[in-house]
Amino acid sequence: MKVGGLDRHLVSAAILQPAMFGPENFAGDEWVESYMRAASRLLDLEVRTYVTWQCPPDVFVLAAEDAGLVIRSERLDGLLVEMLTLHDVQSLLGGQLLEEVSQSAVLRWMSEFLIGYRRPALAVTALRNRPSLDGLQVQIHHAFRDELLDSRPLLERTAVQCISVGHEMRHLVEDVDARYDVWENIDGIPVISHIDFDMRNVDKVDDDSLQRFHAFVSSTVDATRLVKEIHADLFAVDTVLEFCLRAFDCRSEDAVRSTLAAFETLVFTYFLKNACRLVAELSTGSKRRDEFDRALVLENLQWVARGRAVARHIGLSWAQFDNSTPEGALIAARQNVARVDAMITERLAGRLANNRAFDHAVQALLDTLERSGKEQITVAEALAHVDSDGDLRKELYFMLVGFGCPGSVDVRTYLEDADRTVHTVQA
Amino acid sequence: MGLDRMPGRSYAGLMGELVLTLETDAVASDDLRHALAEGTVGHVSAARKSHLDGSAETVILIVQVATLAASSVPTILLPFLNRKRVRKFKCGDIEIENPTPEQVEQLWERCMKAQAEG
Ligand SMILES: [Zn+2]
Repeated sequence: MKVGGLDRHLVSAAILQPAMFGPENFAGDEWVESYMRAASRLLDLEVRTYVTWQCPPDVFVLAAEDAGLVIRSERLDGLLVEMLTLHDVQSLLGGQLLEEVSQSAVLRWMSEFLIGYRRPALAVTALRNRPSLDGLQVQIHHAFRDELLDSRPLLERTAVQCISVGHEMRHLVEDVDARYDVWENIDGIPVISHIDFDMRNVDKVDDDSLQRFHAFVSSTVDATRLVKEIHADLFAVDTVLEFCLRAFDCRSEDAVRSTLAAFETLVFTYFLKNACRLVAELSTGSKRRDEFDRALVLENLQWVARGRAVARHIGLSWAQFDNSTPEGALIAARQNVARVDAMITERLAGRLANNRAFDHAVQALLDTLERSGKEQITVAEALAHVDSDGDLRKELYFMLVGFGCPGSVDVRTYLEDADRTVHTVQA
Repeated sequence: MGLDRMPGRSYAGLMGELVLTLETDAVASDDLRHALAEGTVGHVSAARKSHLDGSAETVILIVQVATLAASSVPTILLPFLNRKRVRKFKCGDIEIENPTPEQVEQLWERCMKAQAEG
């Protein structure tokens, strides 16, 4: 189907070359489409969705004249599903193997994001830093979107796709001029309470230290952005939870568990992508090392706050779904917040393994940058590795096929193009 | 929504038009939009772009430039290019990321020539 009118110009301008685009049909999945229709009605917004291919995982929204446009890459759903699979695999592993499998997956995803930031040399470095898993039968990455989606149960994969779509759709209706501070209330609790939760409850710091921390957070965290993200998160989890309950006739506990897993997956995906943007900025010299370190810490603080706000919110929503009386809901709300916490703890080992894998991956990339200065490894050097290492080339080839590139794609040409800033736009 | 058209101007008597696409920092987008609408006797459409990666919002501008006013485009863009406010410049089948004034001038020249030759 051809895209007409202004959309054609807008989407074409917004995507990353050499991407192609067309109307999204969610690989024929009627559930995600049905969720989108319901979410559009709730937001009172016309939404048109486009899918892009031949490009790394990404999603963004355009607030256009007559509608909201959601533009998602074909690869994004695949990556989200891979993260769910990694979590299952992690639960079966321990020790060094757990570390290596996690590192391998995280480095592969970072490599994809780095191509999106036009840092192909760093992308190749990330792939080369992967531990060798020779002989181990662990299949997390698949080349094709349909194959990936089919690899997960319907409830799980619908939740993860919808939560990503729902989050982005909510951004389309936010008040651009609204400004917030860290004392903004979310479900009756100021955002800062989610940020300083560990300091109060785990570290049990004194009031003076807490006040200094509040001053630091107030002056460094972009509270407006954080609150808008939380609004988008809450809309997404609420609507996905309710949608899954009604669409799949499942137990509320299963819907909550899938929604939480979906949110956690979304959080880690976005965190990785943000971090890769920071690494890319560091590598071009547009960020200094101290700025990078600080930005990463702030990113982390914000993700923690979002996670806490969402966990609490899901507990409260769950109580509403299961109870028709206000008294019942009130009692259930307290119990459910604790049940949600328990579900979050169930996933802790995988989450910690991902965090360690991320730290390891970033450290290795920083070492590369520091060894060779701002210029780091050149694209020519990276391509020389690609030429001489058949396994690396094969890995990259399947990554590009996963982006939706045709089978005839040439790895070298794609990476050379990814390094350029002047592009011929394909018709 | 983030998009509205600049006050209408008559296209009567102006032959043809060139379509120019820009992605610009949100902070500069209003000024740039006004400057382009004024200077090119053109029609500007805009859409706000939000990214998942925490980077600042940008704005996509689609400018239908009246041919007779087309030569003014590089001059209008110059201060914005110098302040590095333009993330992308696209005309015809070429797109440039983080364009320099020289790149814009060259590409725009090429597009005007292609338009003139039909
Ligand atoms: Zn967001």
